[in-house]
Amino acid sequence: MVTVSDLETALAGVDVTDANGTVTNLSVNDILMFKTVDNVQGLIHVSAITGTDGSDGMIELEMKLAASE
Amino acid sequence: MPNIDISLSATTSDGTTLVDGGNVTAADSFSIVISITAEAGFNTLNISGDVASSAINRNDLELASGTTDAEVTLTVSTSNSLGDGSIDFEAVDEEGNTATASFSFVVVSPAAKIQTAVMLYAPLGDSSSQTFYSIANNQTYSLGDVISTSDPVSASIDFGYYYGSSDNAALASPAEYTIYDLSAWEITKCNDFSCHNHHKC
Repeated sequence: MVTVSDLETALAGVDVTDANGTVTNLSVNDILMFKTVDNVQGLIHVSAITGTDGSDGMIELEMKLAASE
Repeated sequence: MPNIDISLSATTSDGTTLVDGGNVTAADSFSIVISITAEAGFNTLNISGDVASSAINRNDLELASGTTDAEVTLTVSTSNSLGDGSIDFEAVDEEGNTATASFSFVVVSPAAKIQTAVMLYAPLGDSSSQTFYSIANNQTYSLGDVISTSDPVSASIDFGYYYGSSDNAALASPAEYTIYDLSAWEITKCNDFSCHNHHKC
């Protein structure tokens, strides 16, 4: 089980000086750290990417939030 | 010497039995029921340890003098600090005889919230694709969903998906989302992303 404390510890070690509001050229199995203006932090795992437009283009994500359920 | 006994039973906030030394979640609460039997009559329960010290006497419980059985429920709010804790109880009867008991617990971090199978679709000209996502709501939205409601949905949108000719697959905070015109949104958030395992950002 991943706890909030586990994630907070992991995220504390990530250099976010280059973080910005857009991340491009994503690939399957990429892992992103995010932090919202509401101060919610977490990790995003890119599970799948298919197609290129709204008729079939899709990204599937899994997120672990440094927040309790 | 008259007999005096004290016994404890505890439950977590969701009603699960909590054993002595068991785990409790940070920023949550649990309850301890303190049962006292005093042949000479219950007088006072003293509480100390990792809670605010307090004393509860039979008047507080509206018990008549000589009442032998007393029961007190203590609700304990756990802090955000992880680690061991304990609470000490001392029951005192009308003759000053005492019985003690202690309850130990370990404050642990709660499980992280996991949101799986979040599927975001690239934008469509008719604004119908589920392109945007709210982390707090764990829900996807189309542009049409956001602009067609009087609810302040835009304030909860954290990012959207697009597939660009040079950007390829991309996630963007609403404030940087350029595929749609989001000027009608009441609030466009500006969240940050950082790549963890590659150099594409």
